[in-house]
Amino acid sequence: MTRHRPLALLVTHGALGEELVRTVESILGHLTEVTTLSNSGLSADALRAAIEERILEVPAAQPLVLFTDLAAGSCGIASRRVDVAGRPVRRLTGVNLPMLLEFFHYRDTMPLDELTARLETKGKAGITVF
Amino acid sequence: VPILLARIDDRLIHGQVAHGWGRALRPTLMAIVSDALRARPDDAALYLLAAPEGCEACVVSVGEAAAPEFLARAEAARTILLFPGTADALLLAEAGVPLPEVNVGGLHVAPGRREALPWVWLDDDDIARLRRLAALGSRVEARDLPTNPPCALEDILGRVNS
Repeated sequence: MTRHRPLALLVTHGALGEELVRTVESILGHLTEVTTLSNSGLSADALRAAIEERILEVPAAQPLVLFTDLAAGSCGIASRRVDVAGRPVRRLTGVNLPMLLEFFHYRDTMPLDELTARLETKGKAGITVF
Repeated sequence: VPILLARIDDRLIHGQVAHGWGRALRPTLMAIVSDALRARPDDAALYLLAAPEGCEACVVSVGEAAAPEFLARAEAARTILLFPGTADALLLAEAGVPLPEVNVGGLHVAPGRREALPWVWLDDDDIARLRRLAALGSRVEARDLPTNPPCALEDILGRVNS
């Protein structure tokens, strides 16, 4: 069975997603199979529809990890409302650099659910107070 | 295993090294070679925190790095050597440790330095040391990430002088 590389979709406020990807590329080099969607100018329904459209653009068997910024913001809420049409989609909120670095480091080698659990752990572990 | 990478980078262990090169080379030891940092254990500890999972990290002086005990440890592992500047790298090479490939990964703006690349600025001493490293047999090139093309020493120096 062919193992499909998970694709990343960052759904964020403004240009945050694009800048996060640009920053990860400055650390890891050029990336493929990552895409962004901004909420700018989109109503709640339009954002949800735009996410669903992106999900359907991905080949049905290819996993997609949907990263959003604020859990309680328009992006986080829209990501909860989307119909994933039975696709292998996983959703995370609170996207940050440590989480994305882990994703791109391990997406080719780690099973999807193990990977997303690790992203949650590492994303939180990246926050420290000293 | 011979040393995987000898990198001159004033940021030492940071994202590009831990993740960018780390992903490509899968190091098990990152050794910072710096007489100055070796004398400041509190600062050294901060850099060591940045080592990726599964990779040991240490700070050694140039003298320690040239000692057979350290070289045996480095060759038993998959090792990246990191130097904060051109001086420590040249001192190690002059102490007799061969550095076949020297990667200039980040020397940032400072008084007296001129720009070769946005992340490589050199003063006259740096240029002389890099030339000396090349004369000692090192292939010197600038490269921030393994997925980006390298810039050879003569090209680096040409950019500084243009």
